[in-house]
Amino acid sequence: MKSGSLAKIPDRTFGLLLTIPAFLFLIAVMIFPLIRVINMSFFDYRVFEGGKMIYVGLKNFREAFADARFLNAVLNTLQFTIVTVGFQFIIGLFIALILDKQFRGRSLIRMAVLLPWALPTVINSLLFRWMFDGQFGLFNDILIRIGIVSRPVNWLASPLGATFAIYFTQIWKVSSLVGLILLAGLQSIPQTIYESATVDGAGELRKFFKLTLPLLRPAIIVVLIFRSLVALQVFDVIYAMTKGGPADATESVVYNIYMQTFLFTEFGYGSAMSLLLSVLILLFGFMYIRGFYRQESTMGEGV
Amino acid sequence: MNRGRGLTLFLFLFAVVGLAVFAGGQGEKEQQNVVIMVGSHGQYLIEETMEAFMAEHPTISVEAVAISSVPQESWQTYTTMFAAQDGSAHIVGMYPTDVVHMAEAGWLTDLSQLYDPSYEKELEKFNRTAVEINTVGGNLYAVPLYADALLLYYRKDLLEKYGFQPPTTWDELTKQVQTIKAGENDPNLAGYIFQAPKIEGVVCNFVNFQSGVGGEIMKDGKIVLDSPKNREALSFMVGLVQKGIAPESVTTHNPNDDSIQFGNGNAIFMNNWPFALNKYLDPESKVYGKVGITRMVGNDQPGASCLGGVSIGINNFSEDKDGAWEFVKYITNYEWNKQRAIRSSLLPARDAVYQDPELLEKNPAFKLLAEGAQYLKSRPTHQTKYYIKLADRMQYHFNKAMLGMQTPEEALTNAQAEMNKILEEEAE
Repeated sequence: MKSGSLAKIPDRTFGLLLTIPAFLFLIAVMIFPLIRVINMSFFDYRVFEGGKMIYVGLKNFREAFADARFLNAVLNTLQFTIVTVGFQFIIGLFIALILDKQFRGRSLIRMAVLLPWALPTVINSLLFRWMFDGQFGLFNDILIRIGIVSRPVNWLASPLGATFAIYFTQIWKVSSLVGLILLAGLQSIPQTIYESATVDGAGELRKFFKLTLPLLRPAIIVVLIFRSLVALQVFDVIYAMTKGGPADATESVVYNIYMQTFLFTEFGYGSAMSLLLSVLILLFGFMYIRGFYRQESTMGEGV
Repeated sequence: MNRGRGLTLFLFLFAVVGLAVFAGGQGEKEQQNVVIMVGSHGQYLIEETMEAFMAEHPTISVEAVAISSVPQESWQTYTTMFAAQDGSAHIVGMYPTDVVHMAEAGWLTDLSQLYDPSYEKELEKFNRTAVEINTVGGNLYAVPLYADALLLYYRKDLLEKYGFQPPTTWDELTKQVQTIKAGENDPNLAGYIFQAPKIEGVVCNFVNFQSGVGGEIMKDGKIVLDSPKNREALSFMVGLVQKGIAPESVTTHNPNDDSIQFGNGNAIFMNNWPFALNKYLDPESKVYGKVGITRMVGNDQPGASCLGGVSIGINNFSEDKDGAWEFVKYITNYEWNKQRAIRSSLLPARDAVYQDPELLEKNPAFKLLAEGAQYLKSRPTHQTKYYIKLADRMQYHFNKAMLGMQTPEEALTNAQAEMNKILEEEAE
């Protein structure tokens, strides 16, 4: 059924032709917005003056570095990323090691463990906001009943308490996902290696640090990169739990960008901040990959 | 060469088809299509309203689109939609904070060009404050669809038990709380609950306190926040928590949280929007039959409530503005204000509806609402096109003062300085 003219086209060219729709789609949804954001970050976009665009050069970027609110948000976000991803990793590894053992009802538990992650973040966050509530919260009730505090703690009203509440919610939600990814990594390690280690007289701890962790490294790197990149863009849990409050104690970079762009309609400034965030995210990814490959190559030399 | 020809042919065909579609769209124009975009509260009875309207106006067809009823979110919808000069929604529902921004941006149609002079008389029948906030530079840009007001809810049973009348001043309210709390000796029972997190609610609640002492946020285009009267108002608001009249949770609670707390019988007084009342009229509610509503209390002068609610205006990028205006007039008329009030407790934007005998007979809630809902004070939303930015600074500093992270004096001084800076920067 091939028509004559189509058959004459070389395979390579024909393949390229077929990718055009996908490529156009990519241009429309990724490349065009990216260029537009880069372009807009050099302008003061005055929505209320008929969308007038005034070229301001690097002013938006300079402003960001002098904006105490933005810098505070950057610090908050970095701290959030390091603490939550750290704990997610430790708890997730723990979950993975338990689920790797043989026990009855294992597949059921494996599914149940994913539940927190399957719930939308906003729902999670609202549930936890109520549990942390200073007046009718569940956590206060428990703490008072077991006698740790005598009167309700108003968690979300203090910078420290609100930060803790947000971290807690996020770690609770994502640890199980991290656990499952690490579990997949664990199961790809052949049992024979452990058997020969046992024959050589290695103890459980030694096997964990000398075998499990190094062999799990690819899975660990994937988890750390993906979780960090997502954590650096944290928005929903903050929007649902504290709206950046109390004062600006829990404002993240994306929350700040959202405020500036969509509430204050500073599209130019918002674009500049988005680009700065992208640079930060790329830096993080770069650091991980560099660290990973360097260790990989030194390990190779050692063997 | 061949490929070049093919491409040319393709582009040509594309252009022809495109033009044909476009021309078709521009074609005969007997029928006017009007789309109204409004949040969920504004959607009450809208199907019925549209049907009745279309029966009377066969040449106009109306369609409703629902958007978020969270002010921040609907504002986000509008900033993106109007920045793209999208005219597909003819009528848009706006909160008081939105109208001036959108009017100044040229997004809204000056309605005074659409109506004939006789409509001026009709406008006088709306709540004066509600019309005022939609007037920019002497021109009307939106018509109030429904009002919203912070009301003072109280526990009728508790007040009766201790022989109190509903309070009219803050001093009375404070004394009643102290007496009842001491008498009940229930650690879960809070005195007066209101909203003071970093949301617009904290500004609205400040306006309530302010109304009693006669302070203002803006006057003649200038920020006059840092004044003795406002210091009195904010100090009083902060002091309520320190004196134990209000619980610490007011610094984190939004209106919904408070309505739950009050609904569980855990507060004597609550400052909240009318939506909460519907929950308490349900016989299943723990406070069924125990809730009273009164007007906002004051100090030297009677208190007034912070004005909210939704107004509708006409998109400047739309066609069929005449048809849209007909529907705006229709949906905001006396009869539909009354119908919405009877069947959904949505506060009418026309004063006379509150006294309507049929309404008072059919919806008992209005016996309560009528007292509280008519004394309104606006935020300076109509005095500046930068209100949303300015309000953000008030939210931040008021919340910080409520948390004890700065004194009320510092909060007002800092907020005023930062608000002035915003105005200076915008003036550049």
